[in-house]
Amino acid sequence: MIAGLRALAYLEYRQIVNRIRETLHRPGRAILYLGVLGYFITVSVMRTHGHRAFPLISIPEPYAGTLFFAYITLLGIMMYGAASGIVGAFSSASDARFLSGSAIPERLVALWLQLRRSGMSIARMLFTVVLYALVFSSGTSLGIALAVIGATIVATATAIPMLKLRSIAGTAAAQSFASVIAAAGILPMIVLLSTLTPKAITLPWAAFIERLGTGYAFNALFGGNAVALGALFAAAFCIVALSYFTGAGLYPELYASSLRVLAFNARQARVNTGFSIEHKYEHRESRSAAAVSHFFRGPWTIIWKEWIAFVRSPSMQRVFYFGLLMCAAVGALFGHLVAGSKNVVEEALGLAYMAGNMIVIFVAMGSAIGLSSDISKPLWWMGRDPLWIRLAAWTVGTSWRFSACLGVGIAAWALALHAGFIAAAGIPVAVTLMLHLRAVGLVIYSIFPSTIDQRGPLAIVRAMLTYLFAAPPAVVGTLLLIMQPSKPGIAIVAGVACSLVETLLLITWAARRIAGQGVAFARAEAM
Amino acid sequence: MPVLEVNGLTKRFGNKVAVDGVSFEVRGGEIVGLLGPNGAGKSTTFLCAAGLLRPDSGSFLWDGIELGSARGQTIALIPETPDVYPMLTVWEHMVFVAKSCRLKDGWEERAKELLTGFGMNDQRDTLGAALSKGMRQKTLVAATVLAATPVILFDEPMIGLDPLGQRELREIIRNLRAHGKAVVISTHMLEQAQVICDRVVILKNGRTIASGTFEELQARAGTTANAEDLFLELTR
Repeated sequence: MIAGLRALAYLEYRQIVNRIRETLHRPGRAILYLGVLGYFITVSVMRTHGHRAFPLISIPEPYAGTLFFAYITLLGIMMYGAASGIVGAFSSASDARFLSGSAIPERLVALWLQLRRSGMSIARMLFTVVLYALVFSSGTSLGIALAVIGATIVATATAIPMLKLRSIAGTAAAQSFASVIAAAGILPMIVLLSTLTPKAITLPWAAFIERLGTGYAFNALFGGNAVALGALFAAAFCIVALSYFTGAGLYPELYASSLRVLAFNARQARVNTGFSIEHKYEHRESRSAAAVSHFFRGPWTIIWKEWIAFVRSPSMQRVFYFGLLMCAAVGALFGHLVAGSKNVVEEALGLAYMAGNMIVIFVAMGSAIGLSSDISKPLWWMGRDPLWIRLAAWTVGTSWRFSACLGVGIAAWALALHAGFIAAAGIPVAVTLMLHLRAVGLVIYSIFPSTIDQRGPLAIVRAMLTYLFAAPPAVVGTLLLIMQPSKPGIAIVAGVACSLVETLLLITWAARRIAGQGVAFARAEAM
Repeated sequence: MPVLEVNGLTKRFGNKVAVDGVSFEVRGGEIVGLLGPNGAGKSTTFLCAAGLLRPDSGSFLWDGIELGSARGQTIALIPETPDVYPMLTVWEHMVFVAKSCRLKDGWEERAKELLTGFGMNDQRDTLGAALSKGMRQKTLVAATVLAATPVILFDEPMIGLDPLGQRELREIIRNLRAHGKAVVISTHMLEQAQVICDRVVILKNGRTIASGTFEELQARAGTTANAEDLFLELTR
């Protein structure tokens, strides 16, 4: 066992050391990484001294309970993914062959794979954790960080036990079990949220669910309560240990599930939405696709190509419709909250600011620009149109789904407040923001095409650049609003126009760097 | 010499039967070619044998002892796309194999000899990500030989190799046979198979339709046709 652990530790250690060496081999990359590291350290030091830190306010019911059950739902969804055989355990096909061919006990390999998955997830979350340090005081952010890490371990550690259940009891039984867990999250959520509606339609049992103390547990965890955190980590330890006891005889399942995820990741580099859901494509005749093909000509055919991919992927559509639904729900909830507050304008602006920040930060962190499957193909370069137009079409074709979800959320918000001007002003701004985020991503891609860099420190750089480039349109809009306060529409139109011009300039700049180097960029993307 | 016995191997994917009761055996010091058209079940057979795909039925015996789920320690698969760890050097692959397979002292000397024999001394400190396909294949073979895995399966080993690479790989495979390894090769390159294999097993639609030496197959078919014509005749 010890020899096996030493071998596995050697494998990881050497890979990390070599990756760091490779990363630092390029001076530009090294400066970037050191710069972002320096920024994080500065922020942490400032927060340690409580500089402009916000104390965490205890979240009231029913929101705290709802968030707790939202996590249970997420847990159920992740377990359902594992029950469906989507678990990225082995890092590559070679990983599977080397480890399965070794003398290391299979249980130990399974445990190691589990720890590695959890470690990778936590590493990804670290950026988020640092972001908490930007907002909250150091003590509070430590509590949040530990709660997030513990919850991440619990969520990722269910994978191998679920695969075992799948191999023993069958896919349907494992999926049913995961569905029960998800339902155990969704149903209380619905009941708790029903308390926000007029009393007449409030579902019973809400008070009973609130008395269960889930909201209290949520606040205790995020407030850094030692007992709550201890219980969470004890649960995490137990589930991780379960990977060891259920890990025997699972190589075929781990291999097959890993290949699925690896194939998905290869496609993900192109689709780059950052959400780990596998999309399967089916050939379908589509009237809408035919109509879209008539409408889009020349370089704009790229939008048709992206539309076809959407039409032929039922899973992509499901994710999209789920996104629409969630955004509508969140928008309605925000609207309800604002409508019930004493200071509507202040509350609305505060929520809009928070939502905007969350969108910028999480889209930047959750997605990486990937063009390799397009620009490495001769077909991409056959058109006579300039590359910047094709990239502009690609930007529109790959951002419309995010824009639509955001638009629906804002419309729901406006509807809840009975304020049409919110939709009229918010939807164009939201659509522009998504294009803007994509264009900034393209600029970063044209400098550092590696997906690893983009998902790593460049996510922060991307978010910051988005804020930086958002300043001119914001200034233009604000100035016009001051000059003509009775005509806010002009300010919004001018701000949006300014942002679109900026977006096009960013795309043009990126196109100049990418032009003629398609294969080089495609290769660099994977490095 | 010990024998690998594959008995009644069956694997279904939904309603499709990919491998249907395939049986064959390979002795140590023997090279067997697994031939068949696309979709015949060769790669599925290999994945099942290496313990990376769960068969619906069938057994694998090495030297009369049934191999369990950890049969990857006995049967190594060198796939068509020979992946290695991109962030490990060639030598670090050897170190990892030595540690993970608990090799006894003296493995360093053997590893050095292997790398010298495979003409890889110059690539010793090269990362896997920077290796050519031929070099990655050699790294995997060297690692397999170092781990003393007695059975080696090559899935389409010659594809993507230049003529020199093909010749080098043929020599490596012959050396493996000379050192008592049981080698199975799946290939579409029938002339290569005729040159290198002691026997062949021909699969079609997941079933074994013929097996034996080329001469035996020719005799059975009543023809003196070359490997390609014989293969087309048998798989028609």
